Amino acid sequence: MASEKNKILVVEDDDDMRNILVDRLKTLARYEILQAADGQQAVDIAIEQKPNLILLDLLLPKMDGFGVLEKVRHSTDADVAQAKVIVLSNLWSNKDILRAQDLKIEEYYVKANTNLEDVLTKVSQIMAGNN
Amino acid sequence: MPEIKTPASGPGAYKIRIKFFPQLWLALLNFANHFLAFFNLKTTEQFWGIVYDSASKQPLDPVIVNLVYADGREVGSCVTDLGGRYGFLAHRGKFKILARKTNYIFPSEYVPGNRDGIYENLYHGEFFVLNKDDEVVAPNIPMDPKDADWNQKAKLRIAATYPYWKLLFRRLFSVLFWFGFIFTILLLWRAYPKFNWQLYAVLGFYFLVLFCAALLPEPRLWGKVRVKTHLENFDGLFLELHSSQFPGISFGKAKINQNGKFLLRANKGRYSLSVSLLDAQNKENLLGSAPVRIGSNGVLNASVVVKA
Repeated sequence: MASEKNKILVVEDDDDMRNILVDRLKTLARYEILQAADGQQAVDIAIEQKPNLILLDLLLPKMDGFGVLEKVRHSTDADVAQAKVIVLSNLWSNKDILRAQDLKIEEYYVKANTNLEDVLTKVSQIMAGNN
Repeated sequence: MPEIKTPASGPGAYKIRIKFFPQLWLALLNFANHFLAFFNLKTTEQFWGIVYDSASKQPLDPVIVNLVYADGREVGSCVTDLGGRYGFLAHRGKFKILARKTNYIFPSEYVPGNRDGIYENLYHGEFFVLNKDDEVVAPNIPMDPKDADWNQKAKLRIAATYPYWKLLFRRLFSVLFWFGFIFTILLLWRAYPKFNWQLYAVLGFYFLVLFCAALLPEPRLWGKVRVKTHLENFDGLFLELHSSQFPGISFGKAKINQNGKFLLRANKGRYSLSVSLLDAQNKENLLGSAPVRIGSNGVLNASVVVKA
């Protein structure tokens, strides 16, 4: 059961960006890292694998990040609906940030302005239940 | 690490101030640069280096850009924003830039030279040498599309730029500028020996614009921090931008180098600029903050004073 509690889903359509995120998250060593390259795949994996934390891009093929967030939050499975979500996107307008915050995210990072170490620290805090 | 005598004193302990006259000069320089670029009298109006699609000329994001020494050691790394913008502040040495994005190839073969009609100062993966400290490294980087990129197509709907239209307008206004100049001289010649002060005023304005185009420096990309406190150096100091609506979100972050200089990229808007210090435990101590405004160039190049 313990391993099921320690999953992080990385949703990013750019392979290079996703690989960097996954490689860095793997250095934390305590978590199983799942990956999705589009919104639909992200929803499928979230429902099937029930990750504790989703690191979510917003501009995604097939279904955008807002769609993923809505599907996750409206899931009938409480484990899925209560997953923690960190948004990591280059969208920075007030409208996008407000829309994401309305869907109960833990943190919003503007990709170009964010040090990866800050994201890893936040991930560790959330996974440790300190947030 | 610098000594902090009052680490728990909080934001009120330090005053953060943007120096007025340097800021005014930079704003005037910025305005003049835009004006001159409008008439094609200055070649560039962009501050940051742009990573762009060599075929469509649209900016690319997210591109992972690395500045590395000749021996492969990494100096800095950043991710381009929606405008494809990036930049580094580097010390002297021999360097190379690497750029990575899915479905794109670097270096570009499609655009081989130093200019492509839209962008200038193009970079193709060659080594380069900096002979001075604190030099800005921000050449424009074309990347060739390898496969259709969904992300770029989606972004055309939200952040498309129109480089060809921009070039067309610049050339058109350039023709109008020079036509007006020659026409004014012809009118003066025709009016001679009668003195027409209006025509001399117009000609004077033309000469002033050409004088500015020849002599005004390019606006700088970097800003500078001046510390008037007991802090011994700039180690651990960094700047961050927050908006009043989303105080928890960073809209721009920059480390201050050993000479007090920084590169801070952000989108247009009004922000609160905070100056913080990382202590030995990697804990952030806020020293103070001040309101700032970022223009369309997306750069904070102000002189910032930190005073106890």
